[in-house]
Amino acid sequence: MADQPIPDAESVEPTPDGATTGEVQASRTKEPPAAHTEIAVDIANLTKVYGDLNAVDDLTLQVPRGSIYGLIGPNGAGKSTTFAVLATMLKPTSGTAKVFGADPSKDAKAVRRMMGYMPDVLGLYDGLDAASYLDFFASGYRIPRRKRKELTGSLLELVDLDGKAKTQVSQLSRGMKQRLSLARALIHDPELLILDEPASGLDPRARIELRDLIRQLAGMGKTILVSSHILSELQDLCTDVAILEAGKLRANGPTETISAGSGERVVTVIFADGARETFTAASDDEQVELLRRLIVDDGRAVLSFRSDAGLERAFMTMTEGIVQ
Amino acid sequence: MSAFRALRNPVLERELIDQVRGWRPAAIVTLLLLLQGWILYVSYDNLQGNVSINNNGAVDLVKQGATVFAILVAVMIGWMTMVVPGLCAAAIAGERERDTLLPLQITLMGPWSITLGKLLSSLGFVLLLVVASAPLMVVAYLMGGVTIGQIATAVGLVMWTAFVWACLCLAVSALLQRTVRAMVTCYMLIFLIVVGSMVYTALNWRNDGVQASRGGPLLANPGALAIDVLGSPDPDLERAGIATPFDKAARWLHDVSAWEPTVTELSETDVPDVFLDGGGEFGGMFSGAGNVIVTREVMGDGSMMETVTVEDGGMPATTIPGSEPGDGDSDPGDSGTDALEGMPAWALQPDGTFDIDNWILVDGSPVPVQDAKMNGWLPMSWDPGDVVGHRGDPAKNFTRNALILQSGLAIISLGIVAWRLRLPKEKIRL
Ligand SMILES: Nc1ncnc2c1ncn2[C@@H]1O[C@H](COP(=O)(O)OP(=O)(O)OP(=O)(O)O)[C@@H](O)[C@H]1O
Ligand SMILES: [Mg+2]
Repeated sequence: MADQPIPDAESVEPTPDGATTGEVQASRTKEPPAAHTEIAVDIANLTKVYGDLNAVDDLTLQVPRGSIYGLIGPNGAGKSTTFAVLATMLKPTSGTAKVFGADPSKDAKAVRRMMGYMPDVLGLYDGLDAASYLDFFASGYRIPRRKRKELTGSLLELVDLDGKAKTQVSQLSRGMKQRLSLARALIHDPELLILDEPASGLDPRARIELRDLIRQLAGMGKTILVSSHILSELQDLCTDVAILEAGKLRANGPTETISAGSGERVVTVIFADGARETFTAASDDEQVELLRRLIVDDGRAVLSFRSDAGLERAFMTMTEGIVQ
Repeated sequence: MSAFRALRNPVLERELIDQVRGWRPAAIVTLLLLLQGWILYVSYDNLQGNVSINNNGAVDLVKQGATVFAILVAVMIGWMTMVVPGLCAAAIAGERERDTLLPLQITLMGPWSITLGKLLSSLGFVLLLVVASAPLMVVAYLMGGVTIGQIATAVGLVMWTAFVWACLCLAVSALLQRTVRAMVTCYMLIFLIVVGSMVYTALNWRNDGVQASRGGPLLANPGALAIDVLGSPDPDLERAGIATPFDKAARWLHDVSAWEPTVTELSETDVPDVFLDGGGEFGGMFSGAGNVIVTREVMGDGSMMETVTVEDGGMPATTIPGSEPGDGDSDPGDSGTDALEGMPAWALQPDGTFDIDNWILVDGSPVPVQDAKMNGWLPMSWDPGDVVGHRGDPAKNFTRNALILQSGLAIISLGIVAWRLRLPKEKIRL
């Protein structure tokens, strides 16, 4: 996986080695003053009504700048609807949303400049290769032609598709398409990334790679808003989570707080001899104590363990078991 | 400036590449060229047979070139009518279907930019078709009878037709969710405009020398505009045998669709003296059924001999040979027997005279004053001798009004497209 930062779309002159970190920082300071707030996304009493269905119901939450914010919820919880409002596609029925201080419904253009959106459906033109696909969207974001080649090159490298630049989009695997879609969301080097179920349909390995990629993007200073059904994944990845159900916010806050909120967790331990045993622990401390006891006191050879506590259980509790 | 920007439109660039790929565009161009080539071949064959027969040969040549050209242009306009919906129906519905529309809409392009990109890319292909058939037009030009100006006008009209269809189809494509449905709707809409406008006009045309229709739905038809501009309704062309298909169509169009007819008073020069004088040639039983018929014969010295026949009950009742010597159409300031042609025999009074005060010329054809009043072409209070005070050249009016209506339709359609592409919306399909 490439670890070069992508060049800033708007104002950075590419340097010979492609390292543009300094300039990226410099250009960030040129963003509108609103971009300096510590809240990247501010959603207040957001409601979206379809007929008599409240797809999003009085949702209030704040996404801290620089966080990886997970939106968890069962099907129909309103995750995509919330994202659609933030991504300047949908007008809310009431309430407000702000992206770095700009209202997506009123100042869509400003929000579009700062926000990259990856929808849960893959919209990919067939008949274009991966590089021209990105090039098309780069021109859509008014990125000058002379900068585009380098930009698409480094983006493809970032999402590990540099070998597929000339491959027809229709011939890419699902995971590759997903990464190409992510690269598209990154084309104008947005501050905020909105990823709607980016891991759906990916195999475990691809999921881990995607997770690493998202972390890498967060490391570049981007705020990331991600939705998923794959709860354990969000638990590892996200700094903050919100649990949504039937349009209503059930819980939100830093991941540890939410996880801890459920109290006990399930620890699955796999031993070197292949045996697998399940324990329960009431807290982090108790889990550490459990493992210490197994390894030190009992002298057993622990190969690995999985702690399924937290979110999964919190999720099940809070969503009243309506989940699939 | 804005045109320049539009030409650097991302959608346009992508679509232009998209359009020339694959077998379909090549097939569309090839088929058109084959069709046009075949027409040219057949006409040239005809020409070979005609050209050297007699001293009318020159006329044949001119007629042939103009006719071939008219057919080529008609085929191109027809081709546009068939191809453009196919190109445009999928333009937006197709992207919606493939889930590529929303990502495109949230770029910095803006709805108008996307709209223009879609429009210009379909017109780009149309331009390719026009350029591809240029050599065949040159052949028609070399056959004679067509001026460079006419060719330029024709190309403009072909492009105009494509433009109007493209705008309408893009609007349909933007309004509907599914490509197939958009495609069917586009073809139905265009069929309705083309055939519907003609059928409507034909049904509403009172075939009694009175123009009942005022253009009506024909104004929305770019084909009718092309006919109006490229053809001449002048009946002399047909008499001389050099009317192209466009001229014939223009005559029909002119007959059925005068938007605002020109109303002029019938002057004494419009009517053969014999009718004004009451020559007493009539008499006896005269039912007034049938028409006044004018027949013309070219004499050995090149002059035209006209014979006015008044039918009675379908039978020639009275014939006034050479009623007005030298009163042919070429006679300046005297349209001679034209005004009487096709006039119902009851216009004539039993003594064979014609009461000029009861008639008025509407677009050159005599119409009873009463009918003209009923149609709103004359004020109800009009009396013979009053100023008629009317109006534009109907042919120009048709052109102007058709252009206005079609531009309006095109702009509204593009507005619909841009409006549909605007985000955020109240409801979207995620
Ligand atoms: N255009 C629409 N018209 C009517 N109802 C809609 C529309 N879009 C969404 N909904 C409803 O709004 C609710 C929330 O949908 P949304 O897509 O936001 O859920 P989600 O959390 O993204 O679910 P999933 O996990 O299945 O993607 C659902 O009940 C859905 O049926
Ligand atoms: Mg969803």
